[in-house]
Amino acid sequence: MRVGDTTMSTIEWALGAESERQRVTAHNIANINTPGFRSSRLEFESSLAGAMQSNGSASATWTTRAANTPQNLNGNDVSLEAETQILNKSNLHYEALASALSMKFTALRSALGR
Amino acid sequence: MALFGALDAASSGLTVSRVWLDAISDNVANVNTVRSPDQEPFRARMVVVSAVSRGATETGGAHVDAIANRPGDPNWIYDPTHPLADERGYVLGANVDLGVEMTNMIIANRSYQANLRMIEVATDTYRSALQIGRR
Amino acid sequence: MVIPSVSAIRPVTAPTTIDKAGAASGSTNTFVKGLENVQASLDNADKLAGQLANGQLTDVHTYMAAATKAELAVQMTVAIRDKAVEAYQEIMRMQV
Repeated sequence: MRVGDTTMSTIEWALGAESERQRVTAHNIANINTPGFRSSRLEFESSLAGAMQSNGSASATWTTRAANTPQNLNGNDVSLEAETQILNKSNLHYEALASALSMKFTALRSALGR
Repeated sequence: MALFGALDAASSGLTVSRVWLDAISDNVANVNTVRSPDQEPFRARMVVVSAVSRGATETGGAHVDAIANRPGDPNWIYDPTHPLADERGYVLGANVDLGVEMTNMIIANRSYQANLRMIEVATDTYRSALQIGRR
Repeated sequence: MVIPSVSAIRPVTAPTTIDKAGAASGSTNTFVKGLENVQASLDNADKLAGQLANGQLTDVHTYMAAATKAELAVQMTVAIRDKAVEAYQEIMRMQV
């Protein structure tokens, strides 16, 4: 008996990706005043979509890229507005994914009659 | 530990902001500090900050490398009646610019709030992870 | 009314050899494999719990998902076993 299907694996992978995104955001915000610091963004959505369409032949990866936001006078380019937006959305997305995963488990429990 | 790593980075950001605020308040408190010319004048303090490398196991964040004196020429003040004045009547003032310090205070406070908010949201996220599979 | 004649009673033939448990059409092998999978998922949950304890785990949802899967796998095994026992008891109740 193996519990889990492709959907569950997809949800779990996406949870990991959003976790990584929050770590990137935390790093950016911690360096909001560090001179010369360039902020980063995590990308994974298109890679995941591609992997899902390929039906198992391609795997999804997440990558970090430069944010390319405007720099201020001491070379720092952290945009608090952008980071806050990314953070809030990431949090909500994570909650939704965790909820989806729990619902998969609930469905299995119902099938077991519990 | 690597678990809840976003909290470590945010907490390092809080520390950096707090150290900066401490330096700023020290500067503001000493804006009127004068010394006699045969001593070192009070020099405004500034924090030197750099980013901590972030990787698979390293959580990243920011770090205070040093607290340095703000460079610049000394602030000669003509005050012959001052007990510390030299024979020409000058004392050495502090090189604290209140305008700069007030601006920095607002920036440092804002960064403190931003890191605090990061901690709140990350904690919220981790809590929803702990609900997975619960009945 | 025509009463049909009764045919002769056929002799009782010896039963065909009962296969040893485990060899019948591979269904028991599937069950054993299933049990191995359950054990593997329990072991995986334990491994992640250990990493959670010593701080090596990066994401807590990995452990939560693995623990839930292991729990459900055990429940499924129990459900299958209960059904098998029930079926056996049903057979045992049959009047021969």
